Amino acid sequence: MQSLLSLSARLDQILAFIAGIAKWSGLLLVVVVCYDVSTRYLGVPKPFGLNSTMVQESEYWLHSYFFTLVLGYAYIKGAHVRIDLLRDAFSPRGKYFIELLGILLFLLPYLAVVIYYSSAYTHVSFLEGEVSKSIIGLPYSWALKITIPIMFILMGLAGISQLIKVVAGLAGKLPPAQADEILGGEI
Amino acid sequence: MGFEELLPLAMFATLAVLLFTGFPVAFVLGGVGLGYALLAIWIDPFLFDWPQFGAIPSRIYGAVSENLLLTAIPMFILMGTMLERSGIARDLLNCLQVLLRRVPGGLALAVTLMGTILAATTGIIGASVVMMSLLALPVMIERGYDPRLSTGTIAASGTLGILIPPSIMLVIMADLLGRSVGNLFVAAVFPGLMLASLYVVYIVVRCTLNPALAPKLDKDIGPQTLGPILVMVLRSFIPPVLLIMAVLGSILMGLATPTEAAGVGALGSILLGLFNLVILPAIGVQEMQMFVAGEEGPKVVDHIGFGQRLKDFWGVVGDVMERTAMTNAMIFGLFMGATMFSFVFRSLGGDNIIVDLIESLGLGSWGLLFLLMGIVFVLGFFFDWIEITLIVLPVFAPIIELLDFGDHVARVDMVYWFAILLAVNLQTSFLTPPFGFALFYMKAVAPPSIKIQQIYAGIVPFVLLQLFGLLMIIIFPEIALWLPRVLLN
Repeated sequence: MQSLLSLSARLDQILAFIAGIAKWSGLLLVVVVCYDVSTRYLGVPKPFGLNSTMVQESEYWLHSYFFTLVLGYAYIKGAHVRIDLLRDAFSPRGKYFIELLGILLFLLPYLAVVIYYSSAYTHVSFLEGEVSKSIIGLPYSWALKITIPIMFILMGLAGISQLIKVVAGLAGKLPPAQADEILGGEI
Repeated sequence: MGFEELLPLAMFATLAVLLFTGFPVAFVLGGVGLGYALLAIWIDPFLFDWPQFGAIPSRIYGAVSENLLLTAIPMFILMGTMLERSGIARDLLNCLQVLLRRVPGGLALAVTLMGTILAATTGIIGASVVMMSLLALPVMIERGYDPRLSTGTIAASGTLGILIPPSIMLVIMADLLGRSVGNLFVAAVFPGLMLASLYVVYIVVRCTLNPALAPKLDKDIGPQTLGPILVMVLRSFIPPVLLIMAVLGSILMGLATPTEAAGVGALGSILLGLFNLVILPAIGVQEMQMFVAGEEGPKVVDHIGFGQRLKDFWGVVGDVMERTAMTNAMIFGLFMGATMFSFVFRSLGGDNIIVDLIESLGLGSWGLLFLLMGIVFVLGFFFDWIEITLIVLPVFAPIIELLDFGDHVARVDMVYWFAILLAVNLQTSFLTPPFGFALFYMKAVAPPSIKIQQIYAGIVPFVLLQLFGLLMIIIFPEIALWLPRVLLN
């Protein structure tokens, strides 16, 4: 059990590290949007053959990185919304048990299917050298599409980490701080 | 009704039941979607087959990854979080309190005004009600305000944010209904202001009739003379109000897209935070304090250097980015789950079945309107607007398009009117006891002396005001539709 828990801690570290970098793409998004606005309304020049289609496409690229790389981390931090109405009344064992069933029956199968199909989708885009729908837009569409499978894979890692914690919790081997994080529900 | 037709209905029923397990909504949506797809494959591959899953990534890509409009959402969240974390929201509330100290119910009015001004920047019901409760409730109780009036005011004002633009909910509604966000924002202005005015009138009348409900603040709280009051207004009132007006104004006048306005607003909030936390202290402006005159404690002299303040500020920015990323991830997690669920639901013919079912009731457009509003009202007892708009709105959309109110509402405007009704309706639902979950959030952070019964009793007048407002918008659609016509033609 101990080695599993350290695997879980390792996964959490990885997710936190990725999310810690990705959160800055939100700030970068703000900067790019403001730059876009300044070129449009203040006549700030666009160097290096940039055009506004590219700038605007980079905005949703940045947003895609901003949420896809954080979704998994949000799960281990309990940020995903739950309906707490009945949950508050459940015993800790009951909560662990529901989380266990939820991960095994809902989360992981759902992720397996979407990872499989979105990887294929990205692979095709890569092989075809797909570019933006707009002729003057950004190239390498696969680098945007790949965020979809990556997002689901990171959610899967988060799911595995939570699964380990839940099993440890059922066995009464989960450190209290982590137990609170799982049982506490929303932030 | 054949077995295949029962499948989508069973899907909804299963979802409803499983959500109450308390497993994250986003994952229940995905799991139930997949479960029913597998069930359909097992029953008859003509209903659903494996290759159909291949459409899901392209839906996500088209509807979310490549969607420029949705990038406004994290930037609005960033703006609100920044205003809260940099102390600007708190200063604004203090400032309003001082300005309104001679008015009956001044503290309650300050809360309503703050809810209206900062509505722009809040979005998630739970978060905004919690923030307002933490900021305002202890002060109101300490000053001897009636707990029922205090809690009612805070819950109602804290939920205004979903209606008053720029609201994240309106962005998502417009996206799902395929309409212009700008138009919807403009349409929401008067209904939102109308509700806020109803609150204000109610508070002033009640507190004038019964001054014991809201003892006036001591005259000598906060700055006394004109000079310091001006400084306070300049520093705590004008900047956030200007920021919000610039963001809103540029959208309303059609100058900027919601995404552009959100980006500039987010940058503005960061600069305001920098101003408040680094520049003002550096040039020696004291933090605003709510002292009673004569009791002004020792002047706080700190020796924090400029560099250190800058570093602390950067820490605040990092923290704001993390919170923004979390809230945004939560919203887009729901988008992912809802895509799976809706795709399977639609593939199994769910849309047609719901439309047929509702048409077979033989209700007219008005009957349908009240039926849909009733369903959403009940759902609002249990779910936040994100789940309701993402799951239910796409199913209702084809029915909404069929509604026809003749001369009452022009066909082109009907969807906007409907969306506004839906927004007001949802807000009311969040406030209605015994389930309204804005009330639960409030109870969770309220001082222990506040009983849930007091919260229930306090919200009733506001729920009645909401219903009155809703009725007015139904009877006079122009409340919502006049401004867009004038501003945007």
